[in-house]
Amino acid sequence: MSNLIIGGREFKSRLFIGTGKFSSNDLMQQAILASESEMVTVAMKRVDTANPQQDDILAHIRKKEIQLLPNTSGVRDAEEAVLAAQLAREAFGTDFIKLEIHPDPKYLFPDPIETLKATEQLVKMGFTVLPYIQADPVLCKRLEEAGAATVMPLGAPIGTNKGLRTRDMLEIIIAESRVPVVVDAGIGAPSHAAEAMEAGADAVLVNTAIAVAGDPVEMAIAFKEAVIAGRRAYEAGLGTRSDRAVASSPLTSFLD
Amino acid sequence: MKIYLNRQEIYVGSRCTLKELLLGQSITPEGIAIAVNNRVIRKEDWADTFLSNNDKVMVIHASYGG
Repeated sequence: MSNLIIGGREFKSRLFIGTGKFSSNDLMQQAILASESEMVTVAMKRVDTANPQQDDILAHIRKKEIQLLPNTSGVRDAEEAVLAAQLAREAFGTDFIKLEIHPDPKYLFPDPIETLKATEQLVKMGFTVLPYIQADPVLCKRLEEAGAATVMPLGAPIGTNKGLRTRDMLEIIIAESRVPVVVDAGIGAPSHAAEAMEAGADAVLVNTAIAVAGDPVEMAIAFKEAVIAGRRAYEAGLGTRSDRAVASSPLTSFLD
Repeated sequence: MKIYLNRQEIYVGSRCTLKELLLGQSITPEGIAIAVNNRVIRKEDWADTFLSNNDKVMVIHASYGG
């Protein structure tokens, strides 16, 4: 299985994991370890000045194999996203930024215009930009031209666990993209992750499906295996589909 | 003088640096980033950055998210 390269860094794992919604730090840490993920997202929030000595989430994540992927969740436009990215670079010491600008709280759909604007600015500032976007092939090309390190089209709205509802568009994006395609959001089951990988996605980002599972550690392993299986199948080359039967055993009768 | 720290109004001495502000508020300086009036101030400049009346100071750290 080939490795994935993003921003000059090589990744053996093609499963990116989010840190939201776990019931405890301990479970989150165990799930991340079990998944063997090397790209883990974190969000940012204001320090609570009434209680500044809060638990340090980074202590549960930081490992030399793990690339932190800070996100810009909570920003409303490109200007706020650029500030958030600068804060992330300062706080976490990484140029990697998952750009997400989704001011609409109902569907959390990313704003394509602000995302493109922010990508253009952040690339000029030396960031490795991974933008979360609609599964829009035209937008993906525009982001690629702007210097995005990947594109991260959604399968379905964040947290819905509905799978690859955008499958036809994802296939076009994968076929046309010259940067890695990471399917983000909506992946609710290992079979969805395998489906994305079989279709040629370079990686998937999973959070809710693992974090809220009955056993998040077991689910992390299930996703790890599904991603590997899907990628192996893609690299092995899937057989073509047919509308009628194609015999796999000889049809000549050998019994008289 | 009055400043806003993460939207909370607080009072600090007239020649207060960012570094002194953190110390006074018991905020651990690791894993955080600071912007003053929406401009990021790098860690190496905290000790030399003096606050002004009505400054809006934002201090962030990591949180959970996908």
